[in-house]
Amino acid sequence: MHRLLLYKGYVFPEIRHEDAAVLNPSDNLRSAEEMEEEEREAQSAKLQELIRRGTPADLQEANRLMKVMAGYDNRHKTDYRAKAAEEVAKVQQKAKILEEMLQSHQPGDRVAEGDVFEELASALQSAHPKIQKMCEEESDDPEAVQKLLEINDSIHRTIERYKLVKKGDWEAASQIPKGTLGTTTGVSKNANNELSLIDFDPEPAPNSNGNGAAASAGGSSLENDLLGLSIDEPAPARGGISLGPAPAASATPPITQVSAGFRPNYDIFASRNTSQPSSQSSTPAPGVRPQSIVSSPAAATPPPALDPFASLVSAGSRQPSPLSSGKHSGSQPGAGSLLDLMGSEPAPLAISQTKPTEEDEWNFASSLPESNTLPSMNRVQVLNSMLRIEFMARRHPQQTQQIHVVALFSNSTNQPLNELHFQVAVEKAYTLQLRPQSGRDIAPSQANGVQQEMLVDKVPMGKGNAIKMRFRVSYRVGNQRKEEQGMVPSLGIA
Amino acid sequence: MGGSVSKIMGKIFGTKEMRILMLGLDAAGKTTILYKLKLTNQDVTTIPTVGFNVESVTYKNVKFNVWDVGGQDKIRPLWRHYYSGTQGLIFVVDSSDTNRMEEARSELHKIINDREMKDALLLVFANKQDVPGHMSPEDVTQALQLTKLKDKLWYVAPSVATEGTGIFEGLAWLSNNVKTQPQK
Repeated sequence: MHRLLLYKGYVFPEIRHEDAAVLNPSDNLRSAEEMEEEEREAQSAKLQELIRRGTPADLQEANRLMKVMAGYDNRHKTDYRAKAAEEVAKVQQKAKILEEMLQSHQPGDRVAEGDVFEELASALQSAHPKIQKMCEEESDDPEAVQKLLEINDSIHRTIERYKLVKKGDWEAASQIPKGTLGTTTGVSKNANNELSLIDFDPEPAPNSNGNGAAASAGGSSLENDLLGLSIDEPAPARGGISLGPAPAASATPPITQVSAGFRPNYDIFASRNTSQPSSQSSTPAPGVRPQSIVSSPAAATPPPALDPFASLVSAGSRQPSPLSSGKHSGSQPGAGSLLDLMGSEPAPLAISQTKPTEEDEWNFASSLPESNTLPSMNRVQVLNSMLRIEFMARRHPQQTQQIHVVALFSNSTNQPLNELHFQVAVEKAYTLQLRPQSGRDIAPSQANGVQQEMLVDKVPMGKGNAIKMRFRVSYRVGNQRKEEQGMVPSLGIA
Repeated sequence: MGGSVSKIMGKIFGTKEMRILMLGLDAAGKTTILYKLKLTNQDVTTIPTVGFNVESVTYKNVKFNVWDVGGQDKIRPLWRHYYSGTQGLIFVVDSSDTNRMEEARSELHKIINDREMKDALLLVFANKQDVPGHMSPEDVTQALQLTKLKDKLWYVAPSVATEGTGIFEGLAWLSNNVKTQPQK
């Protein structure tokens, strides 16, 4: 059609790629609701087809599917909010990369058509309305909205800069507050286009926090030089920075590393945060540091189940410069870290290592051991009534697929407890072997009077905490027969 | 192949096959009716249906394929998946549950207003006629506003599913009123 009309002499207006990008299906960003909707539709279609075919196997499957769809079977339910958070994190990552590239872009360089720049920019542009929509959907969770808005803002700025750079308008491009992501840095009063004004001020306080300083690219620092400003106290640091986007943290990293290495609880954000203060130590007024976001919890307590969105901003935006944070996430994929946070498991050990890339530049990187985020041994209470049951779960290092559980039974009454009969079940994916109970009677108030060993097989490393177990126990106290059952809480091991 | 042979046989000997969908609020007695039809003269105990049951019952030369789908509110949105190809709808109401008659009415009208159900016969079992304080079939007709229905063949049959009374009479009405050769 298009060709035919051209042939007939129609003239079409030139389509601007940036504008057309909005029309692209944004396959990389979907909100939680959309994903849920999509799955529901897929399930409906599947159910319909199964019913239509009507073979016994299909009908059985249809019955099973109905249970899932009606919400009776939640075992395989996906947490779509977490997934959406993951997707947003990916977009965030793209923005970060683009920002980084723009900052290392020198005036005079041309932005080539069809370059990575363009690809990233169009991806961001199409993600933009989506994030706004997600803000609306998440409106019941102000924290998530706040984070989404921050991300939205930063993406918007990055896109604007890209457009200006592409036009060759370097002056205007550097007017846009830098600081890629998240935090208030980019928009706060110490955004770098005000830097030169603030320099007149005798009070050095607000003039540069991590992002602003690091980001002060060619334009403004050049201005400073031309104006012949004498640079006051915090200047040396900035002088070094203005040449490039390198973080200013050269002086202190070793200390951080040590402290990070010995913290008792290592969730990855904790190690990130510990690396932060030192890298920002060149900042004259640390109080200005944006702290609006929930970050990792206090070192000693295991992180509570966080809102998936809570991790978005803390997931890497609070690095002193986009460059170093980019490297961070290179070694620690954002998705994985989000999931870790979701799992809310106390991590036993995070190896925090430094990678000296260049002579006077330190980039912090962290790399967590693959799945070993939980202890290999844990004790959980399963039942606390007249009969007390505890599970001691442990992994033997040489048997990677197996979890060894000892159930300990205690009598918390002052009557003898008899005819103890303990039953336990695991999900079908795993196999369970039971050794015989050491007895069936527990004396009054006797602790650990009976024990029983169990072996849960086919549990890969890292999945230990996800096993679902149910138990049923019957016993007699005096003349009273009791029967109890329930879920075994998470074993709390890797 | 086998299917077409049996179809021809069906034409010769006059056996018909009917796809029946049985719906209604939870605890109306759908599953009991289904198994009372299937296993005549046996006692039936049921639990709430999560999902569906399907059985074929042959009665008076008609093979009824009866689909009984759970009636709990969580499952109701899934009913529509069973509509297509249905020739008869059996809607079961608990005649003693006067409080939920309005709910039953709205669910029933939702079903029969669906495009795919427009040709289906409607048989209502006014079930649990043995429970004291039950509504008569006429009252149930009123409560469900069946008289308002246009272009719909309907019938309200009183029944006591646990004893099996009334249910085969209902089936007889269905087999007498089904169009001789349904759409294929």
